[in-house]
Amino acid sequence: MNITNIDITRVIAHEVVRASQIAVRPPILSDDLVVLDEKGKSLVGRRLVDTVASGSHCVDVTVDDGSAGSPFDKATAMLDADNDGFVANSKHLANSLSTSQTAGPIKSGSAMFVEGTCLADGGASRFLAIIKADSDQALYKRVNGESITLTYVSDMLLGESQRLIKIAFLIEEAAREGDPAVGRQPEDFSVKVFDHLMQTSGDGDAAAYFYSTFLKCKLSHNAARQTKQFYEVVRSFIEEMPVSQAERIEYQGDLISYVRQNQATLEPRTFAQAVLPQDQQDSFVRKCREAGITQAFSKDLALVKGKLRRQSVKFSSNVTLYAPSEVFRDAVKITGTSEDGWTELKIRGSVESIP
Amino acid sequence: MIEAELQSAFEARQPALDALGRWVTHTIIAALEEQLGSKAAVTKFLQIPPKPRVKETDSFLEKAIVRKRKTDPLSEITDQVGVRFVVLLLEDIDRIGGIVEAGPWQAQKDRDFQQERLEKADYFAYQSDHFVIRTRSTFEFEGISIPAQLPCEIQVRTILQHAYAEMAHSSSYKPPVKLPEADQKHINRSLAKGSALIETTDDVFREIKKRLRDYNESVSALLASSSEIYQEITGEPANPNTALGELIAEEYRGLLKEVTPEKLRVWAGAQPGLKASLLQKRASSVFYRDSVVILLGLLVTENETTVPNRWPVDSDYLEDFYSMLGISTNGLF
Repeated sequence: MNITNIDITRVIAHEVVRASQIAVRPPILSDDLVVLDEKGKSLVGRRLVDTVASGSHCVDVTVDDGSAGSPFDKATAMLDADNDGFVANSKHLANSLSTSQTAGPIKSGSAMFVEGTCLADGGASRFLAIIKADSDQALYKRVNGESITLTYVSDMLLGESQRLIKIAFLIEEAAREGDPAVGRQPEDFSVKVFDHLMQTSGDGDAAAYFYSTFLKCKLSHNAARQTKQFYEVVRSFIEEMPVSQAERIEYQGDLISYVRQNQATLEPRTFAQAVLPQDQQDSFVRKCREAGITQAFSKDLALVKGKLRRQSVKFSSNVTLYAPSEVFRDAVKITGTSEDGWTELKIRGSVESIP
Repeated sequence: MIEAELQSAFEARQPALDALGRWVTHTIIAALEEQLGSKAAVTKFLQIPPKPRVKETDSFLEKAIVRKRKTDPLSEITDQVGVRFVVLLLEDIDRIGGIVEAGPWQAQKDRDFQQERLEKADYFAYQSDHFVIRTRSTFEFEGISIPAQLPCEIQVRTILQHAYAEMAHSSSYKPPVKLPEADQKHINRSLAKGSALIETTDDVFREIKKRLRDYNESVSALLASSSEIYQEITGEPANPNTALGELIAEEYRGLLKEVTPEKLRVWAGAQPGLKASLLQKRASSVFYRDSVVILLGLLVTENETTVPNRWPVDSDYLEDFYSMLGISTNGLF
């Protein structure tokens, strides 16, 4: 999603800790809104664009629990709440975030609640961002006349490293209708989550706690369909690439092995940089954008499993050559074509049987 | 007229011919300077500095009496003084031709190689434009009186035509010795081949020049419409020719091929938040006061992975710019 013209209206920050520490030292929950200067706001805006806008690694999630009192309900209510309500709901959510932090390598840190407006794909929208920001360590540089001093800082927030932030970004897509006392409906919002742990599978609970345990969301029900769509966009892009047939077959193999890798999300730009030659990357990104794929999405191979299992090449004489994908790349080589219409192939191995 | 009389008459007018040659050269160079804007540009334009030359007495006599037998050689022989302008491209010939035809004299085109090419379509030989000018009335130049109707020949050719002419001059055009017929045929054939090749190469040069000019014109047009669009959006004046604009046009030369002023307009029209962003950012950053940001916006939108690779200034500007456009910098910087 293209997100521009971010204008931040209210911000508050609280401390969040691991669940096991709550009893030992209760996290500090602030009563006051944070006043950010223009540069501070601009930095927050920049981090939001980098993590949830076009080209980012955020994924769309589906609200699993939108009932009264749910995190979705508390968060969306903040948009219409007065300052007291805003502070109260943010405290509630910060507490439940601490409570959710049970699994894996989770650090204490801060929970920032950022309310604002933006243009989302050109349309004016309100948003609420919940940012779990881990503290970073750095050196603070000061210039005094001719000398420079460096001072250790242990709690810097929102530095450049995306490993240190998790974001839930709730964009209001349809305005509230009816009774203002009734909570908001999940259909009225688009919810995006950025968490670098979600990019690789195998992190299980650690990757899931933020969007699932805390936010009560689940991976988008569209994942399988999006994966299939992406796979088809790449296939047709490779078909149109200005390369030889032999190279085309290799790119096809690259696509299959990339999709089968151990990542939990797919993202067009990352794919392009990993697989395609530099001069094709931008046209690929454009093609994905035209197809509506502008950011990462959860990988679900349910609808493309068959296509990934084996790779094939069909010849104009109706001959089709099949091989398991993992074998194809190393065992089949197209070595040339002759003018009388023959293709020369090399196949590793000797004839084993004639079934 | 007997030879001795002709000789002394020709020698008597040599100072006037010399002055005429210098005056013609001076007049043409002055007009070129006015068209091209500076002395330096004229020096660059002319591949060889033009030097007027008065015909040698013997050469004149030989032409008048032996070779071409004229009844009134002092009037009929037109190249008693001549000056040659050697330029780079065919189109440069027309520039000088235009100046000659509009000059303060009576001008007549004696040889028009473009016309000769068409008239003798399967013939390849010496090519050059020749003009003969004659003074309209008697006047003084640098203290020397130049009579009316004194002729001066002006040759205009490209440097390739010049190379050919120099070669041909020593072999066939004015042969110093008579060669056996078979050898002469070989030489004539080779000269024709050379002439055809040079004509082809001149055409190739023209094509190269045309492409370069088209490119430069299209880049200027893009910067100009970037500036126009910027002014329409922000309501603030903008300069289309800035150092940053030039840098960006230079670095992204390859990508600009795909861009047209119309595309730029369509892109800007599809950015509803651009006006607010630019008005806000231009207040605090000179980068956003440069109208090339419109062109850059389209380039980034269409080439988000390539643009950072060639970015010519501090990447902070570009990262902020991506953010303004709503495009994540993830994995790019």
